[in-house]
Amino acid sequence: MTNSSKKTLDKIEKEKIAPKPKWQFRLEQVGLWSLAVVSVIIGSNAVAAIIFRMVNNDWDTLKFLQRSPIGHALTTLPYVWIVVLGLFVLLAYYNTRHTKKGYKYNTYGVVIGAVLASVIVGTVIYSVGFAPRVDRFMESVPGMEKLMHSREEIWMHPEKGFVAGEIQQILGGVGIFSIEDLEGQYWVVRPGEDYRIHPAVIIMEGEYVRIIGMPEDTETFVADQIMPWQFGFAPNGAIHFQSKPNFRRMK
Amino acid sequence: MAVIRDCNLKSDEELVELTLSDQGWYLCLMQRYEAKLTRFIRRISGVNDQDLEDILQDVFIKVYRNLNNFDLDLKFSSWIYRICRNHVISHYRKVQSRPQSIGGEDGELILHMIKDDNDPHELIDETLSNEKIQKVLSQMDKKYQEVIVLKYLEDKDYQEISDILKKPVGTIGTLLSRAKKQFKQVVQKQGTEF
Repeated sequence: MTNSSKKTLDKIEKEKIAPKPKWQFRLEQVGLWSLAVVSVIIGSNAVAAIIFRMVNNDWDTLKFLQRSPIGHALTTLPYVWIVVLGLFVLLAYYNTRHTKKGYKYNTYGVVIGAVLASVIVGTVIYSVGFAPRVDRFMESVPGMEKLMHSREEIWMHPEKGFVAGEIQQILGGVGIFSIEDLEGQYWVVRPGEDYRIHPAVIIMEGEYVRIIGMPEDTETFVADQIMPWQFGFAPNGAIHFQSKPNFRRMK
Repeated sequence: MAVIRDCNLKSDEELVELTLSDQGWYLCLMQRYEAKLTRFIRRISGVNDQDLEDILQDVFIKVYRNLNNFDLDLKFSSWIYRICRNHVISHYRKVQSRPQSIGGEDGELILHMIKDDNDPHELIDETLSNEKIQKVLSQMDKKYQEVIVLKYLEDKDYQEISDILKKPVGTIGTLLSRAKKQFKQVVQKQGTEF
């Protein structure tokens, strides 16, 4: 018996050192994998919110807004959500890397895998209509609202021909209805000469619409274009679960 | 009455299993790895004998505590080398000094092996003295130094080095190639011709 080995064995016996139980190591592994999965789920919610924001980004009104697609995209990209996605992909990578066999996985493979998983699950989350809730939750986090692009801003200028709001009442005559706009003002909307209505719009009480036109007086708005507030996955472009514009913020 | 344990016919993995039910078997594993780990610690750290003995004892105790975490998909030798290497690194973080150079006959062996690995065009001057090799190795990055030790002195293959350093196998190839490159660069910087 060599000196060092003997000393070590003596120490083990004297100090009653014992191997740590198996469950401790298993628990550690389960914890790491769970954190990786949770990170991907949070990343997926970020992807859902990114899709939601990009689909409902007023692309159909760029010519009226006189904006270039690139300029509009750069202004309205959901940077907060992109950062959240990046952070949680990295966290998923970090946790996977620290699992027992994590070092064997290729770095790019793990990162691309986490992004792909987030995109797939995120698309599912978006398609079942959960994205607006996720987006709204982020807006409710203190301080976040200031960092997130406010789409509503564009639609608060009736004097420039842009108004949006909730349909309050269907009035007599074709295409005549009243709305409460994002600032709480009531308008009677009537069709103009070049009246066009998007196929996804359903004119009924409680629906949210965007209207391009011009005010006739302080109470009447002449509509040239009527579009839905949000688009979704249904074949006609209508949404499954419509989220209200952020009235709370505007009032 | 002393129990007689025949270690020779047992594999490392069998000894791990036996140790978990009877700690006396752990002596077999310690005896099997004592010389190898002593050499390895000396190669990657250059510590004095007293420190070396302390480090080795700590490594064996750490291995014993973590026996239930040994993964049978790994070679036991890779696992114990990994624990040893990590312990040496944390030891040096604690005392805040950098591991020293690789020395003596090891330097000559590395020179010989690197030369064998090279293209015929890339010849290393065989007259490069041990002293110079030690100097060269001491100036190399730690990550390159240890990969050279594992490959050329501990005779580990890529998979084993990957398991010891906890890096993908592909990364080991890259590390080794960069280590050889750095070895040559340091030699050239010192004015020694290849």
